[in-house]
Formats: sequence, C-alpha cells, structure tokens
Amino acid sequence: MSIDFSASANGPLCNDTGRHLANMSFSTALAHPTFLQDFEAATGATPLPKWICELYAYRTKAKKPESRLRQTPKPKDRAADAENWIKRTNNFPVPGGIRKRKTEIASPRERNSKYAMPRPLNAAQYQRHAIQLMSSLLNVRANASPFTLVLDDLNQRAIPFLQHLVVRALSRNINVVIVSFEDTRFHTQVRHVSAWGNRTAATILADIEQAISDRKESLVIIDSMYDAVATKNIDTAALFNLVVMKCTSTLVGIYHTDMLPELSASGADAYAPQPLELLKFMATSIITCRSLSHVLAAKAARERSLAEPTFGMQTGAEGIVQCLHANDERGIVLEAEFRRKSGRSESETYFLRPSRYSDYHQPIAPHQLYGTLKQEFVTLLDQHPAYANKHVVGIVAAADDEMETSFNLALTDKQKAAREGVVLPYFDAQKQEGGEGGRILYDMGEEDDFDEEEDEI
Amino acid sequence: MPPTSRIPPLLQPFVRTPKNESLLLLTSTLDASANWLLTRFLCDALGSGQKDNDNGGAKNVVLVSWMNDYEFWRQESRKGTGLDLGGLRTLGRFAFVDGLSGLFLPAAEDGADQQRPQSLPAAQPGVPATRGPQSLPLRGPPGRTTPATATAQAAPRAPTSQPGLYALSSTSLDHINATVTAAIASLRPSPAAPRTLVILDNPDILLACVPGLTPASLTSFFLGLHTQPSVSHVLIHLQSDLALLAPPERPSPLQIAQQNLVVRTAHMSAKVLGVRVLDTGVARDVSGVLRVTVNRESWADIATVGEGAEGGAVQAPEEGGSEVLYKVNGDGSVRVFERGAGAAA
Repeated sequence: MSIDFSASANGPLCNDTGRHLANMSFSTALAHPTFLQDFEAATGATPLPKWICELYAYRTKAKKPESRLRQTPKPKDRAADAENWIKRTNNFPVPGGIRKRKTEIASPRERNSKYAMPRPLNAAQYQRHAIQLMSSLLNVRANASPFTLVLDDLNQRAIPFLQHLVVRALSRNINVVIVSFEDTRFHTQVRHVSAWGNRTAATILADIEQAISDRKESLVIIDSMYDAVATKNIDTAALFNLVVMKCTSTLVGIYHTDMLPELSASGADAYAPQPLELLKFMATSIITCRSLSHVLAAKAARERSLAEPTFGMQTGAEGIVQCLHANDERGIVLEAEFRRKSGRSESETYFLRPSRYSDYHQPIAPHQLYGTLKQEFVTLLDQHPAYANKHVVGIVAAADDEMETSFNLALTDKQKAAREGVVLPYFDAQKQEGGEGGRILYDMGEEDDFDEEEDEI
Repeated sequence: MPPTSRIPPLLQPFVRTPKNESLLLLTSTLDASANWLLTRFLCDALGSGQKDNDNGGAKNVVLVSWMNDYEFWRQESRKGTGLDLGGLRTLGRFAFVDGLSGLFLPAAEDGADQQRPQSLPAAQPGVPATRGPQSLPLRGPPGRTTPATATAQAAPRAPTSQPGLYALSSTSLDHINATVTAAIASLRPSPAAPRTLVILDNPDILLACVPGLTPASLTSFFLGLHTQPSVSHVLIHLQSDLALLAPPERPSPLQIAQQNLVVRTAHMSAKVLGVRVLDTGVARDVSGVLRVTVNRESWADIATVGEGAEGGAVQAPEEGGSEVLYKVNGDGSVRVFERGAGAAA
C-alpha cells in the first residue's frame, strides 16, 4: 500500500488532509513500514494527530529497526542435507554427499555456478555424449545395455556390427557365446551353441547355461531371435533371467526384419503381438543396420524432395534378392536407440568403419587375439565426409538433373569455336557510336547493279 | 575339348566355390532358368579335377534334383559343358539323387517306383531325351504322389548296376537326409578332390508338397548336410518369382513360407547368385542377367579383422557385387558379357 501525498503538498487538497485521513484504515496503513515516512514528507510541517504518534510508537516499539524490516525473510530449510534420510550403513554402503540439499537459493547473478539449470549441450559436447553411449555398448560394458536388439535385413546384414562387438569383447577377455540357428562353422575363439534342428528350448537353454556359467562375464549372441522366440518357443523371461540376471552378462539378439512372421495353423496367435513388437518392447537398445551407400542415396533423394529409393527385395523387381550395393565395404550405418534406466530414450545415427588390426594394442596373454582398443573410432553419421559433404550429393543430383533426351544437347569444342565466330547482324552498327542516323549498311554484291535513279527517290 | 574351357572366363569367378566352407544360394525365375548355370557349377567342380593346372576348385558333387531327372542333367551337362556324368559316376566322383521320378511322376511307367533309376537309358548317349514326362510344370498340383512309406524305410542304397544313382521315395526330411547322406558317403574322395559339393535343385517344392513343413526345418536340413565332415559347400537353388514371394498385402501362407525360405537362406549364404530376365524387356541377343552379391563376413571369421593396410581395405568393386548378361545359345553353349558390351563381343 502506498499513498501519494506529493500532489497535495501546497494545493487545496492540503486542507482536506484531515478528511482523507479520516477515511483511511489506519491499522492497515500503519502495517506498511513506509507509511509514516511518506506521510511526513508529503505533509511537511503539518503536525500529526497525537493519537497517531502514540499508535505508531506502540506498533513499532516491539519491532526491529526499519533497516531490518526491509530484508526479505530467508527461506527455511527443514534439513540442511539428507543426512538422516539415507541410511548410510544399513543395507549396502552408500557414499556420502549424495542428494545434499541446497541451502541457498541462487540469485540470478550466480547463474553460472554449479547450481544453475542445465543448459543444452553444444555440438561438441553432444557428439562426445552420443559417442560415449555407443562406445559403452560396443565395448560390452557391464550394464550398458543388458539386451541389445539388432535389426538387419539382406541389404545390410548385422555381422559387420557383431564383428566389432566380438572382437572388442575378446580384447577385454570376455567370453563370447554364439547361439546359432543359421551356421555351422565358427571361429575357434568363440563358444557356440547349435540351436537348429531338433533341439528343444530346454536343451538350448541348458547349453547356454553350460557355456556361460563358468565365466564371470559373457556376451551371448543369438543369430535369429525370430527362431528363438517363435520357432523354438524359448521363453524370453527365462532367457533374460539366465543370461542377464544370473550370469550378469550381455545378450545380443539379431532379428531379420525381412522375414515375415508365420501364423500358426491353428490361428491361436492371430491376436497376439508379433515377436518383433515384443522384442522391441523388452530391448534396452535397438540397433538398426543400414548400408552406407543406401543411406547416401536416400539422402540425395531427400535433398531433391524425391521419394526415397528402395533396395533389394523391396523394389519388387522379379528375381532380385539382394541389392548390388548391399553390405557396403566402407562401413556400416547404425541407427541406434538407447533406453536409459530413467526411461528416457536417446536416438542417434552412427557410422562404423571396418576395424583394422592396427586399431588394437598388442595382446598381453599368449592365447589372446587382440589387445585393448587404442582409440574409439565410431563416429556420428554427420561426421562422415561422404554424408556431410554437400559436394558429393550435388554431383549425384546434377547427374540426375540432366534432361533425358535421345539426342545430345552438349556442344563440342569445335562447335563452340564456330559459334563464337558467327558475326551477328548489325554488329558493326553497335560498335560505331551511332549518331550518323539512318545510314544504310549495305555491301554491293556481284549481281547487284547500282541504280542511281532508285537511290534518289 | 577340355571341360573347363567350356566356361567363359568372365563366368569363371561366379561358378568357382569360395575358399571358405559355406552355403551358396542360387535363385532363378520361371523365365530365366538356371539350369545352364548349375551345369557350369558341375563342370567347374568336376572338370577341374581332371586337369592339374587349377587345383582348389575340384570337388566331388552330389546333385539332388526335385525338378529334373538324371537323364535331363546328363544331356544338359554333355551338351553344355561336355561333361560325362556317367563316367564320373563310375569313378565315384559324382552321385545323383532323383527327387522327381519317385515322388512326382506317375508310378505305372515301368512297374515299381524304386526300379526307375535302373530303367534309365543311361548307356545310350545318342538318344535324344524325351522331355515329355520330365518337364513338369514347376508348381504343378502337389499331387497325391506320396508313395507307400514301406519303401521309404528301405536303406537308401544305389543299385549295383547303376552306381551313384539314388532316388527319393518319400517326402519326409529324414528319408531325404538319409538318402543324400548315403550318396555323399558313396563318393570316393581323392587327394585332388578331397571335399564334396552338394547341389540341391529346387528343394522349395517340398514347401508346397508337404503340409506343415516349415522353412526352419528345411534350413535345418541344409545345415545338417553342411555339418557332414566331407561336405564343404552346399549350393541351394530356389525360385524367386514374384508370384511365389509374399506380396505386401494379404500374403498366403505358402508365399510367406517361400519368402522366408529364400530370405533365410540368403542370410545364411556367403554368396547369392540370382538369374533373372532383363528389366527392360525381352531382347534377342540376351537371355538374362546374372547378379552375384557376396557376404564377406561370416561367423567363421567373426574375430578376424583386416590386416591394417589402408590401401588393402578397399577392394575391387566387383568383389562387392556385380552383374553380367548372358546368352544361352541353342546348342547349349553360353556367352557371358558385360552390360553394354553386347553383340560386338
């Protein structure tokens, strides 16, 4: 509440002060600390009624000085930190200092302090963060992603990606187990469980358990999740329980997206969700493999606002099973979705080049194939020169922009030279500065005969 | 004429089996038959053993055909590549499993079904083959042709008069597996040709004929053959016609099964060869297009990385995948040429 008396300092309203005062609620006015100051300044030498002075003295007697009144009250904390909230030595050891309660409210000036709101990452920070996510998955870090679902098709098979996983796992001395529905020949350094043929779900699970139970940490790769779930009816809960919970290992499953789900003859599962939907629901990371050349072609089409091209069997051309540019040797493009423990999901697209022997240190143990990785080489797709470069895409676009005709519109050098040599009509007239007005430029030919009479007319 | 010279040089890398032991997939369509290519595979595997200059490709071969009988293949390989399958059979380098006569042809021709291989006019090379009963429509009615299972229980054994000739009498996978295994075991590996190539010609007909047969059990059958110790490669010939594969909407169960079989086998294969007609229409001097795509990585070399040579990592472009055109002439010879190199070659 503020009362403006300045306008009435010398005016006629000055005499009405008493009437104004009579209409005021003094208890409210006195509660406001600046009332009396304003009142005295405005009314000057006008003596206050005595009862106001007494009331003011009474109201302000027990209170703090005026300068203290101006301070905003400090917010009260219930606890300085969460010392008693977390039981340090109850179930498992908890390191101190977590969830310490903020004792001060940061003022706007202190926005750069450590209590500031998190700002959006800049490009370099984001890149580092995204590569870190992928790197922890590629290096088979414990608990980075307990169940990774790898989606592939004939245009880009998942094996190049899995090669990175297996090599890095072996370089970290992690046991690699391949549960195979599709192959019979395996590398000597990996263990394998043949799951095709007459094997039942129980025997497959028993074999997996035997293969991983004597090691601390394992990487279990299933090369056809569709077969595991739909054909063999392996219970996914039992599988996760065995691999992830019991043996604290990592499970990687491949699903061929170009294989269609088969309906059972009885039709009992007609209303059940497809195996792929179930697996996607359960996965902690989903990696979709694409061929680099297909990604580049799709990007070129997008930039020209064309429909994205299709490849392989999706083209619908008869007899084509695999695209010519399938399984690009330059590397593999991975569209990854990471699901964090908080439930937040992060998506990014990566480019992974083939690994080389020089990427790894010398092995330490005698029977070890590779030493540890020297430097992480997975990059974001945006960092790939062929993808980020506008020039390459421009070449592709320019090649397609040429008119489709059955004849050649371009000129040879000889034709260009001949065209340069042609003298345009009236070219001479343009060179001279004009002003001669109406001069007829005409060269007499042999067949012309000069006719003076006509010229005079 | 030495048999290997019957394979055009451009075709040679296509029909040579890869170094790594693996499955191979060959697809064809109704308009573009792959029989000429299969005889070239036979020729490359069987013929190169007779010459010492190119070793490594020589293999014993077991040919299992559900689409044509022995007489057809004998004629074809003689006509196209000059290969004498009868002589190779007696040498123990070649065996044939007939999946057509005993299963799909009418039984009342020569009496008992299982006698059919003996009744073949194998010793008359001059007689032109009668194509009537052999060339059934590809997807004919499944036919109530499943013969008595009593004959299926008999041990699959080649008749002594016809070594290397076997016949299927049942569509059960166990029986087929046993018969093919017996045929593989009957071959005599030699130092020049220590391993065996198994060629399965159109096993996908079983999907249509045998109710309840899933693609998974068929691929398990392929893998079972591949695990046999003497078998190094298995070549599987499947149909990839659009009519047989699943359309985007409302596919029939058989189409789904065929598509899954083709796709799954392609995923398993180290090399996918596809034969199809020209995309732009029929041409007089071109029979079709042969496409080869290679899946370089496999589980066998999953832990092997490149040797670190920066230049060596980039391979020749035809390593990834390539296409050539071919023309099968009336006399069975074949001309293979690059796109655009057409009639001038």
